[in-house]
Parts: sequence; structure tokens; C-alpha cells
Amino acid sequence: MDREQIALRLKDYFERDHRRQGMALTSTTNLLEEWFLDSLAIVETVLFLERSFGAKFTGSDINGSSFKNIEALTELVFSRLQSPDGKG
Amino acid sequence: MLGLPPRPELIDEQRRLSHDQHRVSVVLAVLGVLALYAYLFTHAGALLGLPLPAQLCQKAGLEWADIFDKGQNVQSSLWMNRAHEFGNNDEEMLAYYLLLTAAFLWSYFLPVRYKRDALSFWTLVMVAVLYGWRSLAYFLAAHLTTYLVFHPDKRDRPWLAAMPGLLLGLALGEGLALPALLVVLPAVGFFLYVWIRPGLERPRLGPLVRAGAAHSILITFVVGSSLCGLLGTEGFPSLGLLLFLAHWMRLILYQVDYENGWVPRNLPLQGYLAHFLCPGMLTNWFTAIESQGYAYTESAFLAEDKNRIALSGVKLMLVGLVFMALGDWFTSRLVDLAGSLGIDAFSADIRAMSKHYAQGGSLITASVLLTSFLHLLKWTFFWAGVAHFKIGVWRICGFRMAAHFNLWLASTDLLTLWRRYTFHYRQFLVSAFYYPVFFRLAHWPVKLRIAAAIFAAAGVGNLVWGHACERVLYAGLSFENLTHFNRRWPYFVLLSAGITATYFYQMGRRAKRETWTRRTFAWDIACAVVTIQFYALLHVFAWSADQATLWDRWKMFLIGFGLYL
Repeated sequence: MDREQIALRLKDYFERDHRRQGMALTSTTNLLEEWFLDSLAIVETVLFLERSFGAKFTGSDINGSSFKNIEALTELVFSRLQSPDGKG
Repeated sequence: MLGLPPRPELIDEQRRLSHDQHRVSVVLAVLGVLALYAYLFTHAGALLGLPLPAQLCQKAGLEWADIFDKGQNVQSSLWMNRAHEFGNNDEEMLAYYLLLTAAFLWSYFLPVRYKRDALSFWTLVMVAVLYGWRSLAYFLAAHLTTYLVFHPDKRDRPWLAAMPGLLLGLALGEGLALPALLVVLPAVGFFLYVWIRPGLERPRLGPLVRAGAAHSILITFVVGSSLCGLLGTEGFPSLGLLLFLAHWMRLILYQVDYENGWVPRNLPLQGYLAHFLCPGMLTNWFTAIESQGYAYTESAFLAEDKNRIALSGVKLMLVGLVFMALGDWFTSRLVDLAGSLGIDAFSADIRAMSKHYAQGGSLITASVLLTSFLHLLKWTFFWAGVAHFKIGVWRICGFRMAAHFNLWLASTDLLTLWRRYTFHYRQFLVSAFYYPVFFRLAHWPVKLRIAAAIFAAAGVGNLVWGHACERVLYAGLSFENLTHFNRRWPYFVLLSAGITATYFYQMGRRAKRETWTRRTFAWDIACAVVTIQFYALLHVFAWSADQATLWDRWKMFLIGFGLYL
């Protein structure tokens, strides 16, 4: 799976499960400050990533850099998929 | 907002740009709001020969007599807890506002590289002025020891390793013992540290010692309370140590961030102190509102133009002022209104209601519901007032901190309420308990994994590291600490169960329900009332008087649902 496909699935997920009325989501929309993802939504997102991509994450992945926007999150998932055990 | 791992090369330039624009209007706005606080909540008006707040109110024809204290100032819920250096709280708060003004002006106008140090300096001055130099010595000794544990000094600089001992000697020593202590304690401290330091670098021992330092309040709570039980005594740790322990949530999150690799291992001492020291920490320190870790504080500092941050702080302080000045008055009017309808709301006090019930009095459902709701409302007015002020102080000092309360009355389910109510405290529980448990149980079934994480945060973490540890600060050490929660645990269990149930319910729905639209408005009101009322009712377990047994509390809880046992 390439970066573009990952980004598309992420965008679809956020627009479906964490919809924000009257707002457009782009790959650079700040997920924490503009799309208002909070800690519980972040955990839901991690579950989605684990199920959809089979990647594994740790507590230190939950930070402002990884969850800044779809671009950064795509990069995190992509790097996990490239590693043999899915853990980066 | 989640904390960003600091990236100094990017952040330094951004901060310089955020800091370089000085605006007189912003400075005047900050000074104005501080002057307003001093005028309304202290006797500054009398000192300056100005008409007092109560006189102004009377002239304006406002019947608000019960919001004023004996000095004809507005009763304040901002306290300098356990300060004894001045005659009364008004004087302490007046000194605080004056020192805060100096701290603000220094940090606002100094070049950005000195801003954090200026805030640390003035915070230490405040501790010395308001709590005495001995308290300052204990406070600094505890922080320096923690610094040395987290950031082992490979150069074994004698002055740094000896400093905690020197400060302890100053705090403890009197008369002839002082010179001896000033020699012995630093020397012992230095050699002890040189002996221990290699252990701090070991992969297993290091994290264990750091965890011990971060959880020092829990150790104090358990060991101190047990010892009190054995010796049949009770008391308080020294004031300076209490001030240090009041940082317990920030210490725990400091360790979480440290183990995640977000705290630079070679962080200089002033960088460490700058994380913990801000004038906002000093008022009402019994409960640490600004309970955030290193990464959060770093990413919040000058995250945008300092003037914009400062103005948002001024606005928050003005909102806090309204809550503090009128919260009790408003709740009292609602109690009167309930009384006129024939419902006893027990002065919006669950303690009074539970005492009445434990002594054989009867209760009706409306009384239980209204008393618990109004008590929660009164508490939230008080706490939101304090929180808005404290967060406002952080903001005028240049930190873009999130507000502690966010339209919580508009929460239409328990999960949303949990997200909007006491934001920083919830973030502490999430970062320290929810995430670690959630990721550690990666192999568990999803629902079990989520339930375990929620119970770890809202249940165990909330009870032990939130409410129990906090007791050390306001109730001191006694054996009663260990039994205090025997009757209060259902609050934590039911809260966790409610949040988990809501979470599962929402997981089962494909799309999230839209709220507060024209179409959903009536339903949202009903949901909000039920949510807030359930949360308020849970407090009959937490806030009832000691006379009320656990069974009494369950019965009052069930009366809230119309079930009389």
C-alpha cells in the first residue's frame, strides 16, 4: 500500500467517524487544533489503524507530531508497514 | 492539545517572532485586570482611599450584600493555601498580585531567552515572600534532588550535588547547629549522589528511581499514613515539601514524557525549573489545575503571538472573576427558588443532606436531585473561577494553555462531559493511565482493552493518584487517609462504568450523532439534563458527610432514581 492510498483511507475515516460540520478536511488540516481530535478519538483512530493496516503502535507514537495532520499520520503508518514486524 | 516533542531549532525562531512585538494596549489590559482583582478581592481600595466594592454596589442599588466579606470586598475563592507570613488572605493575595505584576512586566519586556528564567525567578520570590525562606529552601531542595535523579550530572559538579544538602541545612539549622549542618549535609549529599549516580544510568534501576521521585506523593501518602497509624499520631509534612508535592501530577507526566524520550536528557537546571515554576501555580495549590507534562508546556510556550495569548488570558480572568464573585450568590438564589417550591435543597450541600439522612431524616427524590445538582454547580462555579484565573496567569506569562472547563453544561453524554470537564486533570489521567494501559493490552479483545483503560484512568488513577494523593496536601498525614475511601469508591466505579457504557454505545453507531442543531435541540437539552444530573448524583458517594455509611449513600443514590429502600 502506498502513501496516497493510506492518506485516502485516513481522510475517509476522519470524515466518516469524526465529522466536523461545515469544515473541509485536507491532508494538512491540523487534526488536534482544527479538527479537534481528543484523547478518546485518538484511541479510536489507533484502533482503526491497527484494524485497517495491521500496524502496531506504542504510547510514544501518541504525540503532537504524529497526529498533527493526515500527512504526518500517513507517514507514521507507512513507516510501520515498511518494518518487518509492523512496529517500526 | 497533545504535547509536541520539542524541536528546539524550529521552536526558538518561532518563539522569538511570537515574543518580539510589544503592545502597550496589551500591557495595560493585563495590568488593568490585575488591578481589578486586587481592588475587588483585597483591601487595596481601602489602602488607596477608594470607595469600597460594597459601597459601589450599594450606590448602584444592587442587593448583593452576601457576596461581600467583613472588609467590604468581594469574597474571594482565591487563596494562598497555608500561608502564614501575612495577617490574612487578603494581604497575601495583594502581595501576590503585586509580585505577579512585576513577573509579568519582566517576562513581557525581557528578550525571549530570559523570559522563562524571569518567571522562575519571580515564582521563587513569591514562595519566599508568601511562605518564608525555609519553605523556599525545602521546596528547592526537593526539586533539585528530583532534577539530579532525572538528569544525572556526569561531571559530578560538587555544587550541584551538594546543593540539596545545603538547602536542607539552611531550612533545618538553627543557632549553633547551623554551621555544622551547612558542612555535613552538603558533604553527605554529594558523596551519596556520587555513589548512587551510576545506578541511575542502569536500564532497570534508573526508571525505578525516577518513578519513585515522580510518585513521591504516593509514597508519602502510603508510608506517612501507615506510620501515623502505627505511632498513633498525625500531622503535615513541611510546607516547602508540600509545595513540591503539589506538583505531583506534573512530576508524574514529566516522567511519562521522559520515558517517551520527549525530555532532553541534558536539560539544564534552569530548563527543568522553568517547566515547574510559573506564578500561576501558587494560588489554590491544593489541587494542581495546570497538570501537564513537559511536552505540553514546551509546545504551549509562545505557541503564537504573545499578545494574542495574553489577551486570551485577560478574557479568561474576567470570566473567572464573574464566576468567583457571583457563583455562590447565583446558587443561593436557586436554593431559595427551590425552597419556595417546597423542595429542600439543603443550601446546595450534599454533606448537610447526608447528615440529615444519616440521623434518621427523610428525603424525597426531588430534594436529592436538586441538592446534588446545585452542589455540583456551586463547586464548579468556585473551581471554574479559580481555574480560569490560574490558566489566565499562565497565558499572560506566554503559555497557550487550554481552558480547564469547556461548555460542560452542553454535554449530552457522560463521555462528552468527561472530555469537557476539568480538562487538564482529565489529560493527566489519560496520559498517565489511559494510554499506557491501552497500549500495554494490545493483545486483548478491543472492548476489554478499552474498558480496562477507562477503569484504569477514571477509576483507579482518579481515586489513588487524584483524590487520595491530594489529601496529603489539605488533610495532612493520618491513618484515616487509608480508610477515607472505604465509603467513596462507588463514585469511581460508577463513573468508569458510565463512561465505558457510553463509549461502547457510541462505538456501535456507524456515524456520530450531531448535537445542538435546530432539529436536535430539544432532545439535546433532555440528554444534557440527564447527563449532568447523573454525574451530580454520583457525588453523594464522594461528598457525603462521614456520618453517612456506605449503605446510606447507596440509598440516597437510589432515592435519586425514585427507589426508596
